[in-house]
Amino acid sequence: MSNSSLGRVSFIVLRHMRTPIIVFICVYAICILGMVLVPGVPDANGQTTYMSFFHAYYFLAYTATTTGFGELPVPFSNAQRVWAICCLYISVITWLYTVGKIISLLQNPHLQSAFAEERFTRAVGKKSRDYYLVCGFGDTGSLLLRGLTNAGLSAVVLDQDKERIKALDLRNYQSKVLGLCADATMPRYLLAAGIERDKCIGVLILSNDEEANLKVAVSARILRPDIKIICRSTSQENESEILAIGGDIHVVDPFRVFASYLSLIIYNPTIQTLNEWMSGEPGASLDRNICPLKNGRWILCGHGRMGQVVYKKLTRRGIDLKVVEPVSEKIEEIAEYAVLGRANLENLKEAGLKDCVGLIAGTDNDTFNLSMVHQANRENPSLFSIVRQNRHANEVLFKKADVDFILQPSLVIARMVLFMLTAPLLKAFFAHLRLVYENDPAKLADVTNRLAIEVGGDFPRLKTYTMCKNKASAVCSTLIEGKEVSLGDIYRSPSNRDNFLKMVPLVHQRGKVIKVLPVNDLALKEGDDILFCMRPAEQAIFEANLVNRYTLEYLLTGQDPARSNFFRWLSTKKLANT
Amino acid sequence: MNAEKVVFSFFIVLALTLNFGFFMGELHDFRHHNIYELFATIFVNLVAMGLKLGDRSQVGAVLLSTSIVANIQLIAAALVWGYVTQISGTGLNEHNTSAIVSLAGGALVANVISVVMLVSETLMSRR
Repeated sequence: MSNSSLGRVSFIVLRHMRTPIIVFICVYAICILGMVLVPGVPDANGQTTYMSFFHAYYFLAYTATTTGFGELPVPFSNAQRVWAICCLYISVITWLYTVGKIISLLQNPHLQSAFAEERFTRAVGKKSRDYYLVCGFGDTGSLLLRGLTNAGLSAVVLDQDKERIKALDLRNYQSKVLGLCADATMPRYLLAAGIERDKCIGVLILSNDEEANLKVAVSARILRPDIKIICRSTSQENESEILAIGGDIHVVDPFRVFASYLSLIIYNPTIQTLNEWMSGEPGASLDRNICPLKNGRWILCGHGRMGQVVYKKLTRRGIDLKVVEPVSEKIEEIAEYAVLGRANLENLKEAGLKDCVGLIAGTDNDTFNLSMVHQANRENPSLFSIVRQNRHANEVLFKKADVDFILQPSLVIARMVLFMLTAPLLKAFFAHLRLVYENDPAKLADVTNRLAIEVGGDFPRLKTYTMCKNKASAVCSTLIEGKEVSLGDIYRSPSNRDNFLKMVPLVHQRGKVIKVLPVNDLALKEGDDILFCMRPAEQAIFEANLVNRYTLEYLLTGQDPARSNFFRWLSTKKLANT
Repeated sequence: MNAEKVVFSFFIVLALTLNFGFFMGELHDFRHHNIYELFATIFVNLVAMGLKLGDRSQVGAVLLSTSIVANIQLIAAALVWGYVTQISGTGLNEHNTSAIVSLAGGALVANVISVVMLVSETLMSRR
């Protein structure tokens, strides 16, 4: 709990309530004193009676609140009645004034935000699971959170936009994601989001504001020198500044990631298909095969910030590319490969629409991209069209449109960050695949086939397992006893050890040594990391293999070990006799 | 087939069946309950507990605890029986008979849990 925000709440309340409280106390004091001093009805002896303080307060309590009990301690004298009239008007007005003040105070936006911050800070402080701090809840942020929560990870969100935080509350994530509407560049809010807690295991900075991202990254690094930071950046200068912060820091550049995805689709669609299948893209399956389209001319519409990165990447790959761009300054450097003008049919024809293999509609305007592809398709039906989807909200339109490939930068980034967090070893896997493809494309098909046969289905799960005492107690204790455990043994099926579970080990890491697609004979050692790709249904069974000594023993030897002391004693007896 | 499994399951199931046999009948009428059956139940339950000792899996731990519960209840029933027949001299009237039999009934529940776990674990392993 932060003292500062609690102090702020009480300060705001006190400052606003000071006048009403003082007025209230004075009015009560005057009324009670008057009631006590005013002479009442004489008693049986003719003595004038006076009201006691208790009765006066009691009378005022039900009068001032307009409750109006009929119960009076003693009938009033006329003098008391006159004073009662005064009391009634003054005190009722004071009450209304005070209540009005309280209500307006509750509606005070500062107080509300102070309360929200206080609630958020407390809830974050109570979090018992490891979580990521996500700054920026735009399209990328929301897609990433979906992935994170589906993978069983937890997160807290900071975003400046009130509407986005409201939207966060309405999302049906598997676990509740805490959000606060706050400017993450203010270190105070990073502290409120629990950046200094051990449970906070990473900061993901995903807003569109380059300056702000850099600021957040710097303050996060100062507050937690050891924490993992992933930061979005689209400019080279900014990127080098962010990387200069040092420590465990990664930069994702949406434009560059987008460009490399694009070149993957064109140059190496098999890896792209694999990537989509692993990210659990609906409808992605391993047998879908787009033939490589690297031979032939492509048209790129839009040479803005993203278009330039795409152009550079694709031409470096040796793809023949023609650019269509309406702003002349943007194509000064590549004038001979470009057509100046809007991407209408005329200009597309000039760029060689008739005999080109594909069109990349890559402007930052969704409607424009769609209409362009629509026009081009009519002219050249065999065209392979790749279209950039800028806004997640336009999903419906894009699904309906006759487009061969939709590339959504925010989704691409979200996936990439998600893989960095849940399966960091996957990078090595894909690097290996690219190498395989360069040397012998046929071998790539072997990998795909193996995955299709041994895992198969949709939505595979990627998970890294560490052979440590907590996660794989059975494996570790078997290793400590000096027995050998090989990689193939741990994912045998516990119902029949001759079969394997529906999973494939993708990458094995021991210290700095990384092996992609390790062989089953590989002898495991304590501390090894293994990235598995599996059917989600097999996860529980596999995890039981890792922690249950008896199951593991069966997997290793094919024999059920004696479970209790008596039977163990009996079996050693038997061994001794034979 | 695994000899260990045969012996193990035999004792666990026998503990349940004997316990059930003793429990059957009118709650307060000792003519329906045989004291030798109670003795056999306690003996078999103790053996079953002994066989469960030393299993380091989660299931093994729960199996052992159900056995301990059953034994505590059965021994309590035996103590009540010993007290009323040998020490207090009141003999087996309706009150203490129902106390003995209901204690055995509690042990029965623990034994049922034990058997259910045994069966489900066997089915889970699908071998």
